Amino acid sequence: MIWSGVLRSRRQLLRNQLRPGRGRWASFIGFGLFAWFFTLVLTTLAITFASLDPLGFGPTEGAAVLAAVMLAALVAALVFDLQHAVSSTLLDSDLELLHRAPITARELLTIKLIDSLPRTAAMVVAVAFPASLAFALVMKTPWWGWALLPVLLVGLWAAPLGIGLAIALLILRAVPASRVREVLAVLSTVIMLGLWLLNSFAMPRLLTDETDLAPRLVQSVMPASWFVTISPPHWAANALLAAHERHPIAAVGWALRLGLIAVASMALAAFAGRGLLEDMLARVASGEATAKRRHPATAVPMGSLRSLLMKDARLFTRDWSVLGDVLTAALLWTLLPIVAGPIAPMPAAHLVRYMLVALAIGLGYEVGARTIPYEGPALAWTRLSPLPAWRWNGAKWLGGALLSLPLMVIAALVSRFALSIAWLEWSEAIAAGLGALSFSLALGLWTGWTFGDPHWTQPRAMLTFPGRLIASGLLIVQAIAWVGALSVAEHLRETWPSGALLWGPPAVGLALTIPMMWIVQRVARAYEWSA
Amino acid sequence: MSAAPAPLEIRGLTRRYGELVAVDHLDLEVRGGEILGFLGPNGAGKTTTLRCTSGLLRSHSGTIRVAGFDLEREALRARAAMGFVPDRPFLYPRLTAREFLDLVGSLYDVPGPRARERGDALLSRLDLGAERDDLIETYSLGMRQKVAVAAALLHDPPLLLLDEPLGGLDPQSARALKDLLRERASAGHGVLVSTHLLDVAERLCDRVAIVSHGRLRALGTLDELRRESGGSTLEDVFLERVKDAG
Repeated sequence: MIWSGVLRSRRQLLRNQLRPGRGRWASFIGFGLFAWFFTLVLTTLAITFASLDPLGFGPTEGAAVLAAVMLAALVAALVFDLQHAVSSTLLDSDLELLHRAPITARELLTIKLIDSLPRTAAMVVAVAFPASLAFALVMKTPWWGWALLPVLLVGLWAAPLGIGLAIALLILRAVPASRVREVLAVLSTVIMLGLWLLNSFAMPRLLTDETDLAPRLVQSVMPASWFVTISPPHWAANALLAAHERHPIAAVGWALRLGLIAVASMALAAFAGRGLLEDMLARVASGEATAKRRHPATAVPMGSLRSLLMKDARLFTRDWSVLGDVLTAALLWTLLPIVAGPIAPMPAAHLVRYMLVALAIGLGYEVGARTIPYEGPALAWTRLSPLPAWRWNGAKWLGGALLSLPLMVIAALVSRFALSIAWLEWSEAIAAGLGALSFSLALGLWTGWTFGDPHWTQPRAMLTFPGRLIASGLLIVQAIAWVGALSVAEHLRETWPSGALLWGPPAVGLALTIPMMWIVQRVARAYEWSA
Repeated sequence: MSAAPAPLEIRGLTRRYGELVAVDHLDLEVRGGEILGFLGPNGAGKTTTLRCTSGLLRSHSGTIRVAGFDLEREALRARAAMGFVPDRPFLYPRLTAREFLDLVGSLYDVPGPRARERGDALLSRLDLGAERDDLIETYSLGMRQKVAVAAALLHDPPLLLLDEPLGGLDPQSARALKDLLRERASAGHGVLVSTHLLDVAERLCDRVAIVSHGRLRALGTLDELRRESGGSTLEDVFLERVKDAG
């Protein structure tokens, strides 16, 4: 194989993504966001490192903070990007060509690792790099310390990726390839939201403690000695700390340890690739990975609305990775207001109300926005079939509501019995949730039509990257609007007619939903299918 | 009594992608009872034409009438009057073929029992009866193509559009499909089939249209085209017309 030619073609593939008509707008937004994030991490950490001295801390604590940031970046890379590397290695469209080419499995694995480099290296480049840069700048690292930086960053990228790939390939021996991607996707969802929840529980408690926040934060990231011996991010941070302390042998020692583990990790991936990749690729190519499952249809076909609802129900229940993702997300959205409890104590009735509103808003994204790209290439039927756009979208909204309502009911019942609030307050909370759900589903449909990616592979990435950012912004705006409106309504409770908090929120939700659905059907009618 | 409108009438169809004119003022008519072969080199605008005609893409100018219904102004009636078999089928992998056809039947207002009966018959005809209750995700490319064909024919439309329909089909299934298309034409319906297989076009189609660079370069029966160009086979005619255009 001529490596220079292969590398050139991969570079061209990357460059072509920036050409007009190939997502240039999205690419520029991506670059803009990356630059913003890089600068944010760099300046925030530079300020943090510079303020350690006045607080009575030294470079050791600074290195602990740096290691914690690097560790977070590595965990995020594992959660978000390992699945991408595995998918790229086993399911990319050019694999058939590469598989037929006279190259070894190890070379193929290397090419696919290069392909997935922009994605898998993103967290290292966007977080670990500016964090190290901030540390080196503030701590005035000598020139030879700077020279270690590329080694450390490459090590931080390679160490988890190689081990992760090897483990993924091992798992693939037992699980069909198409299902492994789903397993990894769900796992990444659960880990990501779990970490987020853990963080959400921990941070408010740190904030409400009686003592000063900054010392507590620094103390909280000081690692146990056993952890330092097994954590590559701490080795990288210790290398930079040793460089700052002008101990070249110690610095090179830490860097060498990281480098060795990275090499060993990649060797493990190569070894697994040599033994398992050929077999896996053959299985994927032959379609053997998907077992036959029979679903005899007995019921007579019905009208279009019921058929569309039945279709969505079948697709959801047969796709446990997406269903599991929705259920997990629903649980965590519901719990979100609880974590705010220590920051803003509130009566139980208000807590239940905000839990249901948070769940309703979250479901607009989790269900409403995803129900459009979830169609995949079959979304073309919205253009082909003689079904008006409003009926199709009406069915989508209704389907989203039918999936969401049981989750709302469960959340409402659990919170009612767990927090023992009065029936009237509970009914008002449900009313608020229903109002928010109605609108959030409609807004979700708009998001799905506008930013949906029918070629998604990751259940948590059915929207394009800019779409996910905008959808996140819309979630926050909705939350602020509903919480604000409900607080005002509560404050003015005496001035409203009796029962206004029971019928008001659903009425407001419906009043917002109708124009939103009109916009949705306009967007749907203007939609052009392009495969 | 006025004559039935042609299954498909395209007048002045233009479609651009940025600065590239994919289809350039194309006029085309598919008559009732005929199979019109739609030929052209790669990138000639065949798929774009079919996608505009099916409603997947919008045209930048021109009109498309399906069984007399304007695709822009009477979109739903025009869509109801056609079936489309794309080059890559639009299917739900986690439905069975039967469930998928039930859904398509309901979208096209085919009564339930009729949709079921017709869907089963089409699947059997295309040699997919035994697998009809398996999830589509377990199907090969050819089997998926058969499901797409069955879906396009389920509501018995006056116009059938097919984009490279024989790709992935085994010889037996290809024969079954060709017989189906011939039956459609015999029943007075129109068929527009895009293909690269000139020998298939030569044997299957009543007329052929050759496009290149988005423009119509030739249209007529095989005899007419041979007479005009002096070639002995469709391949000769095709190569000459495409060369002239290039």
